[in-house]
Amino acid sequence: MKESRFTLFFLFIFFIVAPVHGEAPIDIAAIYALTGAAAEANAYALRGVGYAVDEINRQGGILGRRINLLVFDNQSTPIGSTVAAKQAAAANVVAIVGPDWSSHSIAVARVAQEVGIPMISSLSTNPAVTRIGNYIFRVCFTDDFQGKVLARFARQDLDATTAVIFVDVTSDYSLKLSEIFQRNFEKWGGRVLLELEYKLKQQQFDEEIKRAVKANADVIFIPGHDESGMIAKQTQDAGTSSIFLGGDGWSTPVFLRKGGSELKRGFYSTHWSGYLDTDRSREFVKKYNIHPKGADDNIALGYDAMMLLAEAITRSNPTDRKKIRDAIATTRSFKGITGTIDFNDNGDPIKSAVFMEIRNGEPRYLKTLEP
Amino acid sequence: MKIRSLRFKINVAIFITCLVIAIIFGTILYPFEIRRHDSHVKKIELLLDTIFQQKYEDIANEIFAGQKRALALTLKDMLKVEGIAAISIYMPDGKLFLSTDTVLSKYFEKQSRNLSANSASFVTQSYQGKSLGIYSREIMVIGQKIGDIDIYYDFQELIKETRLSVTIFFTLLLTTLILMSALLNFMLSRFVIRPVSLLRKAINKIQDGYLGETVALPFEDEIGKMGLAFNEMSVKLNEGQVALKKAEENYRSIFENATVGIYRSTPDAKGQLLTVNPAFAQIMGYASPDEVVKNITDIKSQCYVNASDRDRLQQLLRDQGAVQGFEAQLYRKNGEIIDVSMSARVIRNESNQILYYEGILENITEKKQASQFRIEKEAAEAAAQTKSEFLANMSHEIRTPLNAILGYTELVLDGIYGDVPENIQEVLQRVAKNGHHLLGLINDVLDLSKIEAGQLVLSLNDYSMQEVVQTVFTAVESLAAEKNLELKVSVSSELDSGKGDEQRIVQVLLNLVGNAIKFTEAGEVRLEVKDSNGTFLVSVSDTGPGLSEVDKQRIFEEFHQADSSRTRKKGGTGLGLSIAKRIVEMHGGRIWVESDLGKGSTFWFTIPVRVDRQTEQK
Repeated sequence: MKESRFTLFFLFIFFIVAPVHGEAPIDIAAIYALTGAAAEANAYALRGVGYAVDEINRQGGILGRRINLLVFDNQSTPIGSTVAAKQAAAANVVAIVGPDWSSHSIAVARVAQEVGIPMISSLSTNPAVTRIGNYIFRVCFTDDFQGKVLARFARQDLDATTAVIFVDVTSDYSLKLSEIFQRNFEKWGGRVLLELEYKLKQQQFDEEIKRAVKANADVIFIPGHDESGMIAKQTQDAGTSSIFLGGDGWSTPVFLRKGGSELKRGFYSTHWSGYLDTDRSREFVKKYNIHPKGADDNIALGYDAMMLLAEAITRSNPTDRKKIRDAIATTRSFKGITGTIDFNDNGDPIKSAVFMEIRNGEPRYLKTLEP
Repeated sequence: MKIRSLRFKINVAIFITCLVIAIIFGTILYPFEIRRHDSHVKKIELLLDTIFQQKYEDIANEIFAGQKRALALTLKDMLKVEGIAAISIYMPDGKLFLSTDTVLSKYFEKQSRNLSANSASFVTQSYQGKSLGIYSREIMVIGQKIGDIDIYYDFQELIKETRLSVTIFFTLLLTTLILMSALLNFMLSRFVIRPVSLLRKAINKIQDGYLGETVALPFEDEIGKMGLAFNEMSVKLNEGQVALKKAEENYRSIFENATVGIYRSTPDAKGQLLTVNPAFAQIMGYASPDEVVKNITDIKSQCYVNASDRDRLQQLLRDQGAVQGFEAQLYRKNGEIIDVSMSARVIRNESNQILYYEGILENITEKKQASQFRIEKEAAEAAAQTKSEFLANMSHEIRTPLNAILGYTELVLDGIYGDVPENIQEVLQRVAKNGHHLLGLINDVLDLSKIEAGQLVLSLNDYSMQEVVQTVFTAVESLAAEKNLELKVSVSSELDSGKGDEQRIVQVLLNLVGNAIKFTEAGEVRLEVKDSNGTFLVSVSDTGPGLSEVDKQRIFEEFHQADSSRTRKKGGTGLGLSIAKRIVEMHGGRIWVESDLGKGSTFWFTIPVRVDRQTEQK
């Protein structure tokens, strides 16, 4: 964590202080958590964004103009996100990349929509994010889709009839994914025995875990971020035989560090995997030396978000946010690392979900589910 | 009642003391308690503020992001803090956003909230009987108000604590009160009330007249000393009382038993009696002193024969202060007039006003009459003496020539002076006979005179009754024979030797036998002598005419004979039985007669066998 922070700090200094040649650079904001609970996980997306900016600038920028990436810390909170967004607006950026988590994105999106700054979230899956307005986009699928496929996976692939859900009530992502999963799981005949609420910053989960174990459901669904690793691990240690199931929040090395690596068995859906056998994917893994077991789709999504934005700016005026928005909206079959992206009216791409299986602490690619 | 009131008073004093202590303590403790309360409130405020600050970021973000469920969890978490009753989040427009207690929040929603940014307010309000501390604060985000938070703190704990300390305080106070009261009551009862009660009982006894009553008090404290003083007083009172009683009895006895009347009367013109003694009542003819006091309301007009006597007495009293031997005549109750002698004096008070008269009253009526009698009696006695002496002298003087007459007559008849013619002889015999009768008469008169003059003195010597009887028989034998009467003598042969005047006893017996022979015409005369119990019983019976009832009663009186006509016939002075009676009585004996008219009479007399002293005649 210290290491990653140091890296981020280094990147930030690099982008800001880098000498500018030729025309004025294009100011683009990256709003992520540099501090707080989300910082560790957010670092990967930001790294992906950095890779993309680095690549673009090395190739001469956009329309001959370098990208000046301004990184704003959202402090892992909605308020911090709003503050960061306002700072970004004040800095007169042409677009915003990020944030990562839905709760943060919603806060930023409100400001971005109000001010009229196009925004592309890398990882926020909550449907509400893009509903805020026409300036808001994302490069990941939504929880409407993810919840549905997870429910189906649980019912069909895992043959689960009962489930216990842990839900982080401070996370719009967790809340929404839980809701969609529950709705679909029950629609297909499953039964949610318990929905256990928790808060991200919570230190103790004993009470909830005790109840989860006692419920003895077929699956324990934990639609949280990286803290899910700790919850899953502790629940496993508490002696449950339920199968652990998670969403794309699990898809981060932080999840593994926090306990995921000690899970005997679990499944989660995500956007991308280093195991994916596509040209772009292989190339990317190779180029950035991404270990597939690292289970990090965030780098790829961050990379994709920045690249998609750069492609859209190329097709429009680098200083006109409205035009950039329109260009983003009209993106056609953008070949990202995580898949081909076409936006619907909401600004959401239609993408497939990747299912991963954790065995003895190691995530493996299981299958891909198309929408 | 008084004891209870003493106890009551002391208990009231204790209670008031405790109340005062409670007030003083309360006054001292109150500011401390207030300060403690205030500091506690401050602490609570600080606590709430700290909690809020701790949770501020979460709350702010959750409100900001509209995450009600998260907010609910946060609030629930905060609610775990003891004392926090509820937490409410209000929207900037004042509408409730979220609360852990909707009812309570709705209640406070309407309350006006004027909070200044970034500073909390902490007020106390009551809600459903509870005292709530309301911590209110605006939640600002990026310079914008996104809501208000109210944290409701239930002061119950604080109140409970305050109440506890107050309860402890008052419990201690009450305990102190009870202990003090109990101890004081115990001590009061033991050291004061019980001894005082004993004293009081003793005093009551003294009031009831049991002087000399003492108490034994267990402690030698002030009350104990009081008890000792009381005992001393009681004993002294008793002694005094006894002495007083004695004195009073003495004086009362004098007053009650005095033979002179003692009185006290008012000094006004009429005069009224206040107190009199029984003697006074008796003198005045009343049954009791009370009757006197009740009835005599006007001394002057009711008692005085001459009302002026009273005026005179009063005048004397006023002038001299005392009067002695004042004589006056008073009316008794029944109107009888008595002579009295009064001694009186005036009793004055300190201011020299006359309170009343006090004095004695003596009935001198009898004294006055007695002195009269004595004068008369002395005169009478002197006359009687003179008469007796005259009689005695006369008899003697008469006897001497009479004896000469009789002697010469005897001599003439005996022929000493020559023969006397028969007719002369007969005359001379008549002279001698009458001369003898006259001599007897003179002797009798002489005896009686002597007796009455007290000049007859018995010569008491031993004598023999047989000889006496013999002497009498010899003397009268011839007389009985003359009248052909049988004279029978019956004398017990074993009679004791008597002591008395033999000559006089012979005289009595001669008189009785002589009378019997004199008055009996035919039959017998019997003389019997017996002795019994040291007394000679002598009886002389005849078969004469007997006596009537009237005669029997008068026969022993002087100059009396049963039948006056017969006296002439029989002769005799009529003094014999009277003299006999006197002689018998002078011997201490008795004489009487038993007789039925026509059947004869029996004269009895007794004399003691031994007469050592002459019995005085009245």
